[in-house]
Amino acid sequence: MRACFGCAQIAIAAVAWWFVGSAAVAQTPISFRFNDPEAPQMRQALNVFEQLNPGIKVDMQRVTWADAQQQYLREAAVGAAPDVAQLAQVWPRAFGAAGALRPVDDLIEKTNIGVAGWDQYIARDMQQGADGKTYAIPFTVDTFAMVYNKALLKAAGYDEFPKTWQDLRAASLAVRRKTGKTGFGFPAGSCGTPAIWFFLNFYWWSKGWALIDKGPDGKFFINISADQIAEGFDYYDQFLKDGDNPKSNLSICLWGAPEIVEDMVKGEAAIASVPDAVGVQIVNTFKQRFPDKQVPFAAATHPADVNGSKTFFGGRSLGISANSKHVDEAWQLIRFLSQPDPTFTRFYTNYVQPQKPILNYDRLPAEIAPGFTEQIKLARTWGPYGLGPVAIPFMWNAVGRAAGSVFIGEKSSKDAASELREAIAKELAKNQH
Amino acid sequence: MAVVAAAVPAAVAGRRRRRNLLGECALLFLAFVIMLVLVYPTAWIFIASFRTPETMFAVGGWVFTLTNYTHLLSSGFARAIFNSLFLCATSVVLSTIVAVSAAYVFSRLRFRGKRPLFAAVMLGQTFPWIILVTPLFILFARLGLLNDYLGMIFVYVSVSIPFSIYLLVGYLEAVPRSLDEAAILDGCSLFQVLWRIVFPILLPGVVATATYAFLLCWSEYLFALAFLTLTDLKTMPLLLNAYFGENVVEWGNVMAGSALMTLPTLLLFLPLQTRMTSGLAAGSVKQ
Amino acid sequence: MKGQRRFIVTMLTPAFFFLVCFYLYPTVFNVANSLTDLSLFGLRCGGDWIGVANYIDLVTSPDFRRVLWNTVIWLTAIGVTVRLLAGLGLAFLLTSRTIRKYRLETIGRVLLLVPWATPPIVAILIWRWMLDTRVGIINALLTGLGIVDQPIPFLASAAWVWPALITIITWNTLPLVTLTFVASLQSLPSELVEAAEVDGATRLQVMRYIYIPHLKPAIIVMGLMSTFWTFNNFVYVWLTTGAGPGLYTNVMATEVYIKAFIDGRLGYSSAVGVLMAAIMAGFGLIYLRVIAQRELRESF
Repeated sequence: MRACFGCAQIAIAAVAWWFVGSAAVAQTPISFRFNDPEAPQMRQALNVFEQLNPGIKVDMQRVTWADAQQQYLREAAVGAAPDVAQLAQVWPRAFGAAGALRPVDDLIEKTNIGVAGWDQYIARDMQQGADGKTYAIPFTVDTFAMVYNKALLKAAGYDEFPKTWQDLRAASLAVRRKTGKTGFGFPAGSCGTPAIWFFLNFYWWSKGWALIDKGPDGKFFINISADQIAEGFDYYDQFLKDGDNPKSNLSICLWGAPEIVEDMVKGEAAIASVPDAVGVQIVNTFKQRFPDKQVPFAAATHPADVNGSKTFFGGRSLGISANSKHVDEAWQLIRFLSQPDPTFTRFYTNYVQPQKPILNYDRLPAEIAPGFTEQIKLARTWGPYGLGPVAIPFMWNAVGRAAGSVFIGEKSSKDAASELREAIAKELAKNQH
Repeated sequence: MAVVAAAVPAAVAGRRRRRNLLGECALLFLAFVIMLVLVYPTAWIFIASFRTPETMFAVGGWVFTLTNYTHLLSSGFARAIFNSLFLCATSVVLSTIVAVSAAYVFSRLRFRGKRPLFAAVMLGQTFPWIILVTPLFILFARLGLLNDYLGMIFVYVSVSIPFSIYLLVGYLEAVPRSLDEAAILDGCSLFQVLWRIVFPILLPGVVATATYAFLLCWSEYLFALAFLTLTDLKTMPLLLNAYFGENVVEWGNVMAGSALMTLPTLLLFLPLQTRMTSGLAAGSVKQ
Repeated sequence: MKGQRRFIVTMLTPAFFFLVCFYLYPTVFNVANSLTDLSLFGLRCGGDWIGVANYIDLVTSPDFRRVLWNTVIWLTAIGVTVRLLAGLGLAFLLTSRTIRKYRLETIGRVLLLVPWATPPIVAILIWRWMLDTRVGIINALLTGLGIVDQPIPFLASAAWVWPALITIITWNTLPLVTLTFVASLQSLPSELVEAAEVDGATRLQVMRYIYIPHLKPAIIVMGLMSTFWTFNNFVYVWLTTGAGPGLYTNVMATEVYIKAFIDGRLGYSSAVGVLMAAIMAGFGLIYLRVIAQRELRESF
């Protein structure tokens, strides 16, 4: 009798242990597409997440940004998109309309998100679809500022960073004439996502113009004339024509191009317009290469005109795919990544979160932090560009191509400008209802 | 008189010898320059992969290091090497067998519908791959072939068949039909003629074709990007392209990865290159 | 012969299985979609029928002529010609008496493999650096030897960007062409050449009446293959210049990419692709009929 009782005890214990064990072993796998090069750091943050949530296993995937949009849309169309995806901040609206993302309003209502709640997030409008639903949560925010070499500018006779567009032009030319180095070195080339798109928009916005604006009647319209577009082209063309932006910069296209960084680090160029991640790169590479020299860099806001100095809120968002089968776990991950600790304080430290209470550049190197902090206060969201009927990728590519054809001398700025404006007008008419 | 008469031809012969020597030197110099141009770019990548990213592009003061490689291999590149090797080797073997079979039929036999069929094979090459990606993606998704070795092998075999058949038909032209006829008279079946008699002579052409098919698969990006999203299945070109970020280029990984991507093909085909050209002459003297 | 028929079917079926499965559905998909306004964002619901509007749009677009010109003339015609000529020259060099005298042909063939083994993205990477205006070795040589006084921005100037592109593509694709010609040259019995020289033939005559006719099949095969590969090629142009500056080096394949994945117009890009396939198919069929039939008469 006793032995059997013992057997029964063991049997029950074994069965109970098996249940508990399998429940502990049973893990929900979710896939997280993260496309930045800081993948090893993010993996560490995900490990912490897995420790805190033992029932969830995160598989990290990566696709280059150039291919990320088409890949995600293809997968979403067949129901094979990853559970959580890092998206460009301007994608959620179009992706939501395509049925590729799951609206998250109900999840926000249930648990809220962020250090101080959903209403402390910036750029929320960009995450909403035309139907008013929220399709993604802003993850990081960045903007461009002008990083410059104080010593070079001083040698050219400028103690302070120029405040207007004309001053910038003069300063760049002075650097070239007095020191032989590049003044404002910017990528002037064409590819799918050229940097010149940003620089042109900064110029136009500071004058109160914009490619797409929303009228009081709720309809979108083109708030810039062909002449004004041409003025932007001519402005940047001058740098190339006079040589203070070397012609070779026509063959580079992205804002973080190694040529730009190298030129700044080596002191071959005086001014660059870059996002904070690249600014950090410039400062850190300099410190690594010349550990005993003083860092000559500082950051300043872009030149201002009648509408002030304007840059854009860039950044990434996190979304849940429409075909995800593990929505709760995906939301858990997004909430985890929206807290500064530990993701941003320990691992993903070069980036800033788009939540008002913590929107500061304290973790940036001290040389350039003030400039970026100033600039982000003056930044605007893409607004009508992203909310309007003309897709940003289309305009981004078209503007870059038009500028490129002017820079290489193929078209006059007037011709390129009117062709560009016509193309945008056609898209606008086609998609506006 | 006789002395002078004898001296002139000697002088002429001497001048001709010197002209020949000059011509030889010029030719050798030209060959040297060309070889330098062919090899320099790749050699530079190998050298750069042993320098730290900060000093790679500088004009002096290089710092020698192995960390590019250790860092690269520990970040999943080793797995990508295996994936690429497996996919490409399997695809090439399969594609070669299929292509040789078809090429033999096109080259040697006459049958109804031969011209349209051959034209159809060639038509397969006329489409740019970019527009094949989206429909195939949808098809593969429906068939469950996404993130699957089988799907990728199917893709790589299919894209290498058209030109393989075409190239092999060309190579088969140089293999004399008399060999076939003799073998048939001896009582061999067509199957045996192909694989026992013709194939060994065709080997150099097969090696050249297989090399091209391998290299095509090795550096293929578009299809691999669309069909392989699980990190464990990715091939080398995907990882290599990913090191070119928007804000930063991971130069150490790029150089080491490029070197690792170029090295296997060099090692694989170094011993094979003699096979590619020798032997074609044997037995192919045009009657 | 029944046995032969069975053999033909067995040998051909595997190849056609792959071809039909792989190419037929996408072809139908693309032709069908080229008549709709399918967008990348509307993949799930499909596009609306718009007839031949995409084709009309394409042919009347202001950039069409330039894209066509770039693809047909610059990329394909000039590119393939350069490749064939360079391949021929290099093949003659490798099999010349001088080289053979010093036993250099093996090392020549080995070194020839290096550009071929280098993947396109790696080749483009290193050539971009070599062509760089300030740190590139080519400009360093040109200014150092005094050939030019200012460095040339190869990839940034309208005059030089196509030659630079063609150089990169040729460097990467020359080996297969060269090796094919070398193989063909090696199968030429040297007695023929010697006999001709003894008979007093000049170099030029030997070239014209002996070498070229012998090489003709190889030239024909390589010519057609190169044309197909080059016309449809996307990677080289896109990774080197991004079809820029502006749209200066835009070719049809990059146009397909931009329209499909940046503008999201899958229907329109299908139309471009169908047009590309039609052009190549037409070219190929004419080629096969006119030229190849003459040379490869035995097969056809």
